[in-house]
Amino acid sequence: MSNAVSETFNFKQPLFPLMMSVADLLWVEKYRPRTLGEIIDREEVVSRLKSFIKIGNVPNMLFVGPPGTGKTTAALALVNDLYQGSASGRFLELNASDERGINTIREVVKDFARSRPSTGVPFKILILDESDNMTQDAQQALRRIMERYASITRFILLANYQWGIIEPIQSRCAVFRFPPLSPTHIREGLIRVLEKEGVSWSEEALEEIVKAARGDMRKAINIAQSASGGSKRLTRESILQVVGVLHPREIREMISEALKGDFLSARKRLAKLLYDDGLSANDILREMNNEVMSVEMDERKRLQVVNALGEANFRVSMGADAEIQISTVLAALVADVQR
Amino acid sequence: MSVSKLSWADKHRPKTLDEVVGNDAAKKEFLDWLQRWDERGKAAMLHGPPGVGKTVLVEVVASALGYRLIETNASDTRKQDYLVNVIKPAAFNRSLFGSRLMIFFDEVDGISRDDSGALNFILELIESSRVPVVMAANDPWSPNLFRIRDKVYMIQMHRIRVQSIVKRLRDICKNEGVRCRQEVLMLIAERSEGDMRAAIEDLELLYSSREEVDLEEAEKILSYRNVETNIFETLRMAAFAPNLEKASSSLSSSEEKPEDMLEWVFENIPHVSPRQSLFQALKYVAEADVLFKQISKNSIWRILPCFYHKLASAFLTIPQKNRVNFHFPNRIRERFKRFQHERNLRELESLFMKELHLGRSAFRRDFIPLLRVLSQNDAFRLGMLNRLVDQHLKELYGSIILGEARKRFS
Repeated sequence: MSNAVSETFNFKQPLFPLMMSVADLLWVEKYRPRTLGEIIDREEVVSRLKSFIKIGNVPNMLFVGPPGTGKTTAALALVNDLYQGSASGRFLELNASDERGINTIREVVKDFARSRPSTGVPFKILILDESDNMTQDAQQALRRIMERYASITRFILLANYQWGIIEPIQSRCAVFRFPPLSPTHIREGLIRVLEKEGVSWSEEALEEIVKAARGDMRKAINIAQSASGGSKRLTRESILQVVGVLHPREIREMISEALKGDFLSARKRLAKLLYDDGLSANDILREMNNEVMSVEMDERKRLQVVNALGEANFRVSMGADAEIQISTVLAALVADVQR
Repeated sequence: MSVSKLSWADKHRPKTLDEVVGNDAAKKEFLDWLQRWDERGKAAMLHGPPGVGKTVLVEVVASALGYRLIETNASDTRKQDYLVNVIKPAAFNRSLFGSRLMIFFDEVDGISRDDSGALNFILELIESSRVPVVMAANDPWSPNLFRIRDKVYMIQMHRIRVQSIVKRLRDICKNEGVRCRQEVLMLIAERSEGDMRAAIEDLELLYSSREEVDLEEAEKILSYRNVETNIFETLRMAAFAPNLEKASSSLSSSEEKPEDMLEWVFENIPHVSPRQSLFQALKYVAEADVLFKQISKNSIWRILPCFYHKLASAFLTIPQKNRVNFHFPNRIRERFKRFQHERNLRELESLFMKELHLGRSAFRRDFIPLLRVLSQNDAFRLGMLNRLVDQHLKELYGSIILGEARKRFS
């Protein structure tokens, strides 16, 4: 997609609606830096990446950090700079959402990795998102492919947790860390977007966004876009309202229902989150954990609930049923403390 | 000896409410419903195992309260002209007949799911009948009743207790002039498994051609009645079993698949358990879930009994159980709908994920709520819909994003 087209796009006069991608309507995508030069807040990472481009070679790389810290952006910008905008056919991006069992690794990844690079470039690049969610077996298969086709394919693995990647892969990669962005960087990034969109803001509004984003640039921009609505103005009130909606309010309500002893309502809400909203058990459990830590309750009870949370988390990741396992956490919230 | 050709069951069919044995709660519930039938919906469904007196109860109550009963069974409902010419006028033109009317669909679970004519007809009555509509069914969870079940007032009837059956059998014996032994009556009653009609039929079988029968002979004549215990009975037996062995064996001897049994127990534990034991009980259910996944993944079916022990333990850990009507598992009921919804979600998100460089869980967590908020804005919504070239995608966006947005913010 072309950046120039999206820059000139205007809500009231869609120019070439059919030629534009749905993502252009979203600020995060519209203002995603396209080149390494546009990335302002990762000086160390960027300068190392630029030096690779200068010598015309890149190693296998592992980008580690929480969501919204620029891993994907840096990887895509690197590809763009390296291939001077004509990257098609020279790189492949595999989202975590794509099927990622061992078979995909053996088929899709292997097919891409062993194909000859097109003329003019010595190697292709494969970006694997959320690679720490791959099974051990799949990672072993990946490692062999990395070794075998090292001369014609480079891998960029993106991960939330470095220790989710098996040791032999880690040791074959240059590791880049993407810690949560500092409040100053979030502010700067936001202001850049808001100025381009012609949205005015109040200082408190900005503070609320920075607080809610917790170092996640994607979240910060999403909050800003939804709160600005049609009004072109960000106020503290509009931010607070939106944060409630974007941030699963349902989870808070589910927990407070359980604390009141209404298990059946809480379970119904859980089913809604899992099946209607289609949220992953992982996300629900993480959000529940945040909430349980901050809500007012007996300390011994909190212990009981947190234990149940840990157990549920573990079991769901081993393939147990999400609703049944998370229900035990709700029951722990309902229960009086066991003496 | 009786000269009548009527079977004993018909001959001694109760005529008054007092003669209807057992199920006092259901009787009262039915009467209460009838008094206020319009506020509580136009239709009620009596459900329970065969021979517990569903049809009799309706007949007796109708006659006691002066209703004329318009009765149909599964074979009648297949005749469209019968429905249109007999039932329909009864339901909508009260004045056509002199007396008060009540419409009764017996064996309603026998209507085929494909017989949409009859089902739509019943649904129409449930919506707008001007007289009470009563139904009787053995298995209210029959898929045939899927569309009806939630729209009617459900009244559960239980198997009849052994003592009540014995008492009723003794009355009949007295009436027929046969001398019966107490042990034989006990035997009949126990073997009937709470089915009064079956008990009376057995009594007739034993005594209609002879004056006296001893226990040994009776046992020979009566082969064991093989009543298929349904899932509700299974749950009741497990929930109120005195020990782990009994609870576990009643669960494992059910015809239900183990994974469905897990669903039934998971659904019903919170209904049965008071607050203080819920946590422990659900822990057992959760362990059963983990265990079953391991069993089926690794094919270690020899440890399946442990799975049933876990489920049974969930019931046994509850000190004082609430008496409840067991519930049909939501997760089974909604299975297909959820499957379709998940497919729709995947289709919609596959469009966005590539362009947004996002994983599936992040899309649902962050972007669906974002799109809902942004779509409140007319310009954004139109811009988005314009870009979704495919009509099918527009519809998906409409139902998943806009539908929800409207619900949440209007």
